[in-house]
Amino acid sequence: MKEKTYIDDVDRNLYDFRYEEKDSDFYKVDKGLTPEIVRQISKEKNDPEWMLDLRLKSLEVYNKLPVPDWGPSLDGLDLDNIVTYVKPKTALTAKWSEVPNEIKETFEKLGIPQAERESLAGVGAQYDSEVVYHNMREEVSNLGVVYTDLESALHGEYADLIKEKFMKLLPPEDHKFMALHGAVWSGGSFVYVPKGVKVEIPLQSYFRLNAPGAGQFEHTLIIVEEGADLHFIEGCSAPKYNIANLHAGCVELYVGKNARLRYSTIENWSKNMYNLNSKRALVEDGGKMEWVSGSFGSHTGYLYPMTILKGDNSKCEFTGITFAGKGQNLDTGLKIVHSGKNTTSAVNTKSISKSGGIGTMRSSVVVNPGAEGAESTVDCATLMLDDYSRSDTIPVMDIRTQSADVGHEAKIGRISDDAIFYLMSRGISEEDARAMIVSGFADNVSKELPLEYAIEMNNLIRLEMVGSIG
Amino acid sequence: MEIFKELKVNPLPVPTWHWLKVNDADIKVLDEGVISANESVIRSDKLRTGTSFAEDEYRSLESGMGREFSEYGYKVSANTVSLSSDDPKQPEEAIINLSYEGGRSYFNSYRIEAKDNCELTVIMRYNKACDSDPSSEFKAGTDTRVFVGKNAKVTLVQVEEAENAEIYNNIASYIEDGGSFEVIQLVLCGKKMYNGIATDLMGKKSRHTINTGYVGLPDSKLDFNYVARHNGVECTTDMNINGVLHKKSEKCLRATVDFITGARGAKGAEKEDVLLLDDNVINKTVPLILCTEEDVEGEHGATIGKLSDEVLFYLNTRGIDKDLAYKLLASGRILTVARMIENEEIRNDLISKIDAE
Repeated sequence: MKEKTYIDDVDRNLYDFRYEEKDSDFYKVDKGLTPEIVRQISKEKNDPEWMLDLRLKSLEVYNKLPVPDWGPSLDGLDLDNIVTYVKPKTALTAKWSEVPNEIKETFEKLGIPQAERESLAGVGAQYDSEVVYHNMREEVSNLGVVYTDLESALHGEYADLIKEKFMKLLPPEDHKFMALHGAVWSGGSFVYVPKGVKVEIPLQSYFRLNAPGAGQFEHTLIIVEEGADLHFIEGCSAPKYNIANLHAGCVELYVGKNARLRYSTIENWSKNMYNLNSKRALVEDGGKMEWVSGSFGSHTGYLYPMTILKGDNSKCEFTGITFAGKGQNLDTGLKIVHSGKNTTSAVNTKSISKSGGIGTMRSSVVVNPGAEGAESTVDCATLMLDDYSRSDTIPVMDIRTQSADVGHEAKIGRISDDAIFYLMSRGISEEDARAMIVSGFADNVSKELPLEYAIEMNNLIRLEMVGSIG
Repeated sequence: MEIFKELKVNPLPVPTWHWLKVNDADIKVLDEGVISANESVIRSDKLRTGTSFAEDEYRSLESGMGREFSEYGYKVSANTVSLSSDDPKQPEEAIINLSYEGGRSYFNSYRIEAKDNCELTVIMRYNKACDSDPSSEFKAGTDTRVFVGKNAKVTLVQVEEAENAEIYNNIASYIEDGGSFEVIQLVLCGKKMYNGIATDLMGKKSRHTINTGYVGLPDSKLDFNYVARHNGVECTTDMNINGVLHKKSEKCLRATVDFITGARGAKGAEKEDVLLLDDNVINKTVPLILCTEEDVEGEHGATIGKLSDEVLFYLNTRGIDKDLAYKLLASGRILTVARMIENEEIRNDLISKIDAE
């Protein structure tokens, strides 16, 4: 009789550590969402007046919009019990030594300062609702690159530019949780890469949500000017609590003419997290947007980075993997809109479902009228590791231009017995053979990441695959 | 005064973003005064016919156009024509010619059954009455319930040839062990067409194939919803849809392969090729794979848009210019499906019509 391989859930000890914190270490607003709380957050952050107006308008929109009825259930998310703003009692610093010990140790365990020393041009670290550390190498700064927390930038040289771009790509009306974000956003990064500047090594922001029952609503705004080049990496984690946490961040990316932006994410939120993050990029003539996305954590995820290929000859590449394990319902995917002439998009996604996890790959490719010569290829592959998990593929193609060329392929299946047999006949155990095949299945993402992050991602997969045969 | 009723039809089994407007389609149908179309049924004497239909049997099947349309059909349908093949030694064929006149709303229901080891082919043709004004419009609904016994085979051929028609074509089917349900659909005319097929592959090694060819004429709207639910061990589905869209025509194809726990060894494939002939067309393709079973193989593929440069170059080198190449390949897609019809007379009639156009 054929034996089944049992594959364990991920060992999350690396991310689940936490220090016992006292309420006196933090400033918090009350649970729930009211105009008073929104005003309180705005005052605490010393918002300009237009920002307070946007927050209050967003709250109105939030109260009008319905909860999405097409995705995973959000019944476990009670916004009346979410604390939308938690501020550690520390000031933003560019010196690692000035970060409070507990926070510093948290990030050190996650390897953030080490990564900065070895392989990053700059690092931002957010703890709960506030950025606590931001630093960038001097030589990158000398090129005119700006990488700072968004609140500081709102009062600096780029204040007008931020006002022009902030929540214009992703307006509060986009969906309920974008409206929530508009009302209570806090933290995040502002990156500006001037015309023609190529940042050779990546910048990274790391988001840590430590407070139980809290929400994190950071806003990332990146502007890559004409001919410039940037790789930005985003990492996220949180310890697990018994009550729901919420992440509703917003990422707005502007890619100038002939510029290139690569945005990489390794998401490993804890499994009590509702990750309702939104990301959108606008690409001008000849620009290129590259997404590399690994989704491993969260209890429930809604994540569909969107790319608008506005400019002629603009391009988008999307490479992603989603690993849905026990208790997880991860609804991930992408949206691409072709508007300019001769635009191209290439999508390669992998999805793995195991231990009762639900993985959904949801996508849309829209070719607007006038987007002559648009080309798009979408390739989705899904691996089912048992028969009590679920995996759905829900793509939509909406094509309105005769000269478009759109191709879509998707496959679903299991690990081939022949492949297992082949590896076992060469002395590899069945467990190792399966782990090897799953790692190979995910290599579309790992080979796109910088080496250190590819190793981290492969370690995550390896941990997922540790198990017993029986 | 005519009373209309608004229905949501062709529901996607799992909804997606509302802004894409693909989760279902809206139709407006006449709630009273619906009549049966004039129909002629050509069949052999051995084929059993009747008019009965049990309500519980009707409601036990989920149809392609969805619950709201099924309830509507059950209410307005005057009677159900039943065709049943029960002689394993004698493959049967029935030809149903539906004839419509302008300015009316019609509804006809059918129950088709091939009992264990039997074989039945039913050909349905939707046409306007010869003496009817070609420019007059009408609405016509059909509801077809198909039951395929063990090791039996049903082939259902449907050809939509009526101009200025708004057609609603609702199908539900149930296949037992080793049974096979093959559907061939040709959509050659029509102003609006809503077409739904839902099939429950309940039996071990049951099989389901759909071959569709459609032409979206100027200003036409075509809306398809194909759902294959794999329950039986080693059951298989193969959907092939070929289409051509002309000026301002709009098409939405939802094609779902659903693998349900226990359907070990099941396979499902769906493929659509759409040739766009003008800039003002709207093509929506929604190929779903839903899966709760590990031991399956599912795949879908879609190619949408212009002819490939390689094909054009090949034809150019043989003296065929771009316009003629598009015409040839557009008609070729429909002819491929028409040639699958086994009835020689009907096949040749359709091929000559397609060639002429």
